[in-house]
Order: sequence, then structure tokens, then C-alpha cells
Amino acid sequence: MSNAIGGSALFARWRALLRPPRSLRTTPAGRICMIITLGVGVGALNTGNNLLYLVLGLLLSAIVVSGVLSERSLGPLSVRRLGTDAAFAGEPFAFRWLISRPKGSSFALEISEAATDLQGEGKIAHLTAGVEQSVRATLLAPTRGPRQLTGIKISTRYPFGFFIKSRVVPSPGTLLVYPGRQPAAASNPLSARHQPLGESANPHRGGGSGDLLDLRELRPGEDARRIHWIKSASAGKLLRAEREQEERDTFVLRLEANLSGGPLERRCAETAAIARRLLSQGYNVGLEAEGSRLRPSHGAIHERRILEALAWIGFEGPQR
Amino acid sequence: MTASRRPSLRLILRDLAAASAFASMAVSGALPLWAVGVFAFGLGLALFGKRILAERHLLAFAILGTSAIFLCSAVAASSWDLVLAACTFAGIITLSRMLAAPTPSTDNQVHLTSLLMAAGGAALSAEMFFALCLVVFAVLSMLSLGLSTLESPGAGQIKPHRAAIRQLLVGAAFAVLGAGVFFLAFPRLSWNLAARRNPPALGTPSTGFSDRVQLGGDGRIKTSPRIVARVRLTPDPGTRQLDAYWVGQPLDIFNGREWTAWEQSPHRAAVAILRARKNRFVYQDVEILPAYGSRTLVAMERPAMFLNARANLSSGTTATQLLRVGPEQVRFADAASGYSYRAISSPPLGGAEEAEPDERESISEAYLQLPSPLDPRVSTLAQRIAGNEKDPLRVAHRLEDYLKKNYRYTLELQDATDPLADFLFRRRSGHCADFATALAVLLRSQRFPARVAVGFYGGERMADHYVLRAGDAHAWTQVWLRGKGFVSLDATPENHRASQPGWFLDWVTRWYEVMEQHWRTGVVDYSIRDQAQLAHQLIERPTSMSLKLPSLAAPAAAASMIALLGAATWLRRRRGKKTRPDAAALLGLRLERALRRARLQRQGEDLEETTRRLLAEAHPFHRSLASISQRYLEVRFGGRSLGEGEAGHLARSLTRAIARTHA
Repeated sequence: MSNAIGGSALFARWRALLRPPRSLRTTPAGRICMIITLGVGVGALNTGNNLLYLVLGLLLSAIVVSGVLSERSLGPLSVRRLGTDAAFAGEPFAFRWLISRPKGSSFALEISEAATDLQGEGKIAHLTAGVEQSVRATLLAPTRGPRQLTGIKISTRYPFGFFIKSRVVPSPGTLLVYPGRQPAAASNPLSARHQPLGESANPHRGGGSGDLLDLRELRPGEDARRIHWIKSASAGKLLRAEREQEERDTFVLRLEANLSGGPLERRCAETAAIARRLLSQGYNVGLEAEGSRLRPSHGAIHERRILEALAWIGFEGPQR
Repeated sequence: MTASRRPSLRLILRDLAAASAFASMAVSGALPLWAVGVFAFGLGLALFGKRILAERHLLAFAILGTSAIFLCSAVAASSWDLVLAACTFAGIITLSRMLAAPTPSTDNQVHLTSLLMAAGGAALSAEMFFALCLVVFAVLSMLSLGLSTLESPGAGQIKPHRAAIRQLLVGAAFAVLGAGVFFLAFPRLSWNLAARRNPPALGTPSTGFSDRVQLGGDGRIKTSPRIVARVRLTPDPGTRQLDAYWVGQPLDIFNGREWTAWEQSPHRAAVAILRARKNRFVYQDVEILPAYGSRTLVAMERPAMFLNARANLSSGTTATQLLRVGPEQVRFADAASGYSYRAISSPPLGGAEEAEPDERESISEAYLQLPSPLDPRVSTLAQRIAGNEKDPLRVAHRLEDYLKKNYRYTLELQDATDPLADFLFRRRSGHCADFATALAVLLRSQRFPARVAVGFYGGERMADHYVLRAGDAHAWTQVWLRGKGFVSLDATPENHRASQPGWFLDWVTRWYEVMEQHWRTGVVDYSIRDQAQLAHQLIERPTSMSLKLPSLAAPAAAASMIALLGAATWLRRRRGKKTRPDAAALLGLRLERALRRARLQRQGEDLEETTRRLLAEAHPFHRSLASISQRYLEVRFGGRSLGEGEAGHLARSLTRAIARTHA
């Protein structure tokens, strides 16, 4: 058993050693250029015309120069990932890297995340030595869920645009893509709740207990009983008292178990949309899903927690 | 509909690269004039930013379609060569793309079709200027392609033209060097059979050969330095000046104003034999250049045989036939831009006395024919000079000497009713045709058979061959001697026989010929044999001290050159580091200077302090200064870089803001 593991590790090391440090792709113009080079070469060999040999030599040297200049461009680069604030499935989001080089210049660089389904890349026309430059890209993740980021791919078409040379700078990390923020097609959860008593149907009805925590301006529709009249009189505007424990209606969103694929994605997106709507209306929202449970709470941070939990559903990771 | 915008540097470079590629075909001289004109017109439009086909896709398609149909028909009708038609079509496609809206796609199309044109140029000609056009094309298109990768959408707002151009230029230089190395080292697997040797003749070809020679004609040809023929001699005399007569055609009949040759029905053959071969021969491998402008073959005196004639046509070099149109005149059967052939002559070694015996014991009375009427003073003069001498050769030499001593050479000619009498008795000056005619007629008047020969005089050493220039065109006299045949005599003063070009033109043509020679031997005719020789020279061990020295000299020179370059680069960098201040610091100085001039900065204040003070004072200028100052601080201390031209822009903004505030 140990021999088998040792053998596979050795094989992996060999594969890593044999893997070319750069990858090279030809652009459509590059392909045509290669065909012309081949044609000129055949013509030169066939006719013995020395001037065709001269043209052939120039084309081949240009290809070599292209390789050297692109290598210089990709050479001693150091790049690190700044990432994004939040990434939602199906929505473009800003992603940043910091890139620098100790000496020389780089031209026409394209930066993207290697081996992921994230679409888009950042571009930088010129990178001078000794300056750490921020590169911004607008990326798009088609689906929610965590992305294991293995490395940052730096590519260049420089100098002639006939080849795209790339290298991957290893940089492990994780990008969590939240469910998309499309409007929810699900039914309104407010209609499904039990009949309230008195003012309890009003999410802003006041209530709350404990010491006075804060004063803030009264919003339209909020319970007038929460107005702090003395402070309002002195301030010249209606101020609402905020207490340590505010009373809010609570919703617990439950995701059916055993969902997978498209239905699971849709349910996650709907749940995220419902949670967002409820939280924005001031309710406490909790989440119960397969292997994940969040106590009801409110606020932007709690919304982020719900989104994270929803993003991890169906994946192995830090579910709560 | 016509898109007109000032073209960017990338587009200018792209269009000029395309023009170079087109020029690489045009230097072959094979392209039709209309194609060259249309391309030049289109290039002008493109360089002025007039993209007349920008939104006229149908028109562009129609132009391409019509051109394709026309060229295909011409090829099918055998009026156009296939390679030439393909090259012309490549030029038309390139032009249509140059005049279309500039997009990355059209850019690539222009570059790729230009590449096809450059390859077409290689197939069309073996002209030296092709190399120049190819190098210019390579450099310009590499720069343009490089800039287009930087200007791709989203690649940032700052275009690093200067930094990139520097690197691209170095890359292009290495590409050109690499092409040279590849050219030398790549094994040649076939002989260069397809090269077209028809370099263009700039200006009208002019050698002066025609069926007749008229007295009083234009003599300006003597000042022309154009090289019209190259000759390799075996055995090689090795002298710098050959001073030989090259016979083109003898002229037998003189009517008082012009000389003409006897005509005979042309006889067509691959080999023209003029006389029996003697024991002493000079073999001449002659290459006739397009500037020659005639189909008459020339050879050193007493040509015996012409053979191995080849014509340089636009479709390549091919064997051609010879036409014998007179007893001693041979022409090429086919019209071509240039020719090559071998001539075998048995020229006299020294004076006329050493001429080889002629089988003919008598000669036609036609060589004694005099123009009618002949001025009686001509015979009197001949009689007076000849005196009692009866030997034809001695009489001829007396007449020759008399003309040389008493008559002046001039190219300023005047027309006269009797040009011979005018030359002999009034003007007493003329050019070679006058001298040759006078001597021939004076000889004939004394009943000695004589004629005029036209051809070249001279032969100038260039590398391992001799060249003949258009200015070497010459006319001289031949007197017939029993048992010796026609013997050449020349009454023209010696220093006026060969060409008399101006020193500058002479220097230019010499330089060009040397380059052309290197080009032909080192590039056009480079073969596997030369490669083997080169390899042998590289690996050969020197066997003696004399061989060691040059072998050490080249590496030493190369090492010195590299050391010098290295030192120069180091010095430049060192000086640059010392003298070139930081761009951000310079910007700060500029801004502070502007503020001091406007009396907004106090003594000892820096830019940041001034900004803070003006802000505290709520100065109307503080908003403008705050944004500029913030950018300066970002650049100076925040690790941000200045964009190209941004420093100037900031300084100008500050000056404008100060002016607005003061207003």
C-alpha cells in the first residue's frame, strides 16, 4: 500500500517536472501566419530561390523573437490576489490582483484565475519595474458555490499577437460565489405566517427591551410609540429610541433535503432572494438546510452568513 | 460615408509596412504601371486617414471580384504571368483592406497580405533593393503589430508607445540578424533555378545601338555612368582598365549624313559562328543589363562565336536563339529585359600589325564607296597627309595622327548640311562618330577599303569582372588590309574614348555596382557549395602564421566592438542615473515654480503646505490645487506611476487654473 502511494507521488512529481512551464496557443492570425511560413518554406525548398529563403528566415526569426519578447514580458512577475468583496452567481463582479516586477517592463498582460469556470480577465498595457500595480477585472461565475483557486494565470499576446503565451503562478485560495440575486419567483413568505395579534403584524411596531442603545430618525411607517419625545423636541425632528433587545418577527427558511443540480440551484437562489427581502424589511431570518443551521438574526452581517451557508450547500466545506 | 480621421501611429506604421511590401514587388519592374499608380494613390489616401471603403463593403467586394476576374482572364489568355497576377491581386487586396475601417481584423489582413506581397517580391525579382524593402517591411510591421497588441480594448488607457517601441526595435534588429544567420546556415537542398534576374532599368535604356548612325547626333550618352554589361574574361587579364574595343556592329555604307549596315536575311540559330576559330581565344561571359536597351550582341574584337544565349524574361530565365543579321552582326531573337551569353574572340594582342591573317584576298568595292557629292577638299586633304606613302597601314596611321593632333573632341554638336566637311574644315571639333567617319572617308578617298564600327571602348574592373557603361559607347574606324582583314584604328583622342561621367555619378554607380556584386554572389547565387566553403573556412585549422593573423583579427574586432558597446551602454546608464531626476520630483518642481510665479507659494513652503494653507484660507484656487497636489503626492510617495504625458498635462492644468483664478 505504501509502495503504491510512493509510486503515485513519484509519478505526480515526474508529471510536474515534465509539465511545460508555459503554455502556448496560436491566435487565428497566428495560424494564418504559420500557414504562410510553411508555404514560403515549401516554395523556397522547391524552387531554391534564395530570396524566399531570406523571407523564410525572417519569418522564423520573427517567431523566435516573439517567443523571447513574450518570455521577457512574463518573466520575473510577482502577483497576488486581492479578490473581491462579494461574488454572486450570474452577476459580473469586480476582482483585483496586485502585480509587480523587480526589473524590466511587461507589456499587454492579461490576468485571470487558472483552472476555474470564472469568465473574464484583467488587462494591463504596461507594467514598469518596481511599481506594484492593481489590475481590475470584471469576472462572471456561472453558478454558486466555492471555487478552489489554484493559481493566477498571466497571459500575453505581446509582441505580435500571433501567439498567446501563459504561465500560472501558484496561489491557492478559495472564492465563494453566493447564489444569484435574481428576483425570487417563490411565494411571498409573509402570506404564509400565522395571524398576528394587534400590532404584532407591523414589523416596525416598536417593542424592544433593555437600556436605550441609540437614537435614530423615525422612518415612515414606524410605530409612533417608539418616538423619544424629549430628544425629538430638542433636535427639532422625530427621533426613535433603539433598545438593547429589539423585538422582531422571525422567519426560519428551510431548504428541502435531497435536492441536487438545477432544482437545488434554483431553491438556493430563491432562498437567498427571500432572505434578502425579509432582512431588508427588518425581520429576523434563520436558515435550516441539509447539514446547516443558522439561528434567526438580522442585519447585513447575518445576510452575508446566510449567503455563505447557501453557497456551501451541496459542497464539502464549513457548513453550520 | 468616408471615414476621415487622423490615423494613429500604429496605422501609419501598418500602411507604410504594406507600402514596403508592395515596393519589394515593384522593384522587380514587372508590375504594370497602373497597379503601381493605384497603390500609390490608395496609400496616400490611407496615410491621410481617408478610409474610402470603410462602410462600402459591396464596393470593396466588387473591386476585388472584378480584379480577380480580370487577372484570371489575363492568365488564361497567357498575357499575364501567374506569379505576377497573384502578386498584383495581393496588392489589390492589401489596398482594399488599408482603405477599410481600421479594426483588429483588417489590421491582421493587411499584415498577412503584405507578407504575401513580400514573398511575391522574392519570386518576382533578384533585385538588391528587395532586401531593403524586406527589412523595412519587417521592422515597420513588427512595430505596428506590437502597438496593436498594446492598443487592444481594455488594455489600459495609457499607451506605452515609447517603451514598447524601443523593445520592439531591438526585437526587429535581432529578427533581421536571425534571418541572416538562417539564410547562411539553412542547408540548400536545391539549386536556385527560379530566381528572376531582371533588375529594373531606371530611366530609358540607352546604348546608342541602332541600324544606322547619323552624324551630328546627340553625344550626351558619353556622360552616362550607367552600367549596361558585365563581362567575365577567361583568361582574366587582371588589369584595372581593359581598354579594349567591343564590337557591336560594323557599318559599311555612308551616304554623307549617316552610316548603315548591309542587310542580309536573318539566320536563326543557337550558336552564331562568325569566323573560323584561331589559336588564341578570349572567352567572355557577358551579362547584358536592362539599361542596355538593344538586342545586338557585343564581343571583344574579332568575335568568332556566340553561344549559350539566355534571356531574362518576367517569367524567369530561359534559353533564347540568335539571329545573324549581317556578316558580323548578331542579335537576340527574343525581346527581354536582360540577357547572358558567351562570346569567343581572338583579339589582336598589341598593334594592328599583330592582327591575325584573314582568309579573304579581296574585299567588296562597297568599302571604297564615297558619298555623293563629296567635298573635293576631303580628297585633297587626304592626299596632302598621305604624301607619297602607298602602304595602307602607314597611310591610315598618318591620317589617324593628323586627326588626333589637329581636331578637338566636343559633345556640343551643331547640325550641318554636310556634317563631314563641317567637321573637317569649319568646326574642327566633334565626337567619336565624326572622327571615325572622317578617317574612314579619308581612307576611302585614297582607295583604301574602310568602314566604321560601333560598340564600346573600355572595360572597368569591378571585383572579379569588368563592366561596360553606357558612356563607353564608341565608334571607330576599321581599315581592310590584305592578308590581315579589318584592322581597328581610332582617331578619337585617347582620353575621350571611354565614358566621361561626373565624379559623383561615377562614385554612386561604383558603390552600387560593388553592392550589387556582393548581393549577387552572396545572396542571389548563394548555394550549397558556398555553404560548404563557409563551413570549411570556419572549421579549417590555420596552417601558417599568415593565416593565423586574419583568423584572430575577426574575433578580436568582434570582442572590441562588444566591449565598446558594453562600455557605451554602461556609461549611458550611469549618466542617466546621475543626471535624470525622478519624474515625480520634476513634476513637483514644475508645479512649485508655477505657484511661485503666481505668488501663491510662500518662501520655504512645499507643495503640500501651500495646498493646506490655501484650503484653510478658502482660496478660490484651492480646489484645483488640491486635486493636482493629491495626484503629485500619489506619484511621489504612493508608488503610483505617471502616465505618458501626464506630468505636462498636470502642469498645464495648474497654469490654466491659476489664470482662471486671476481673471
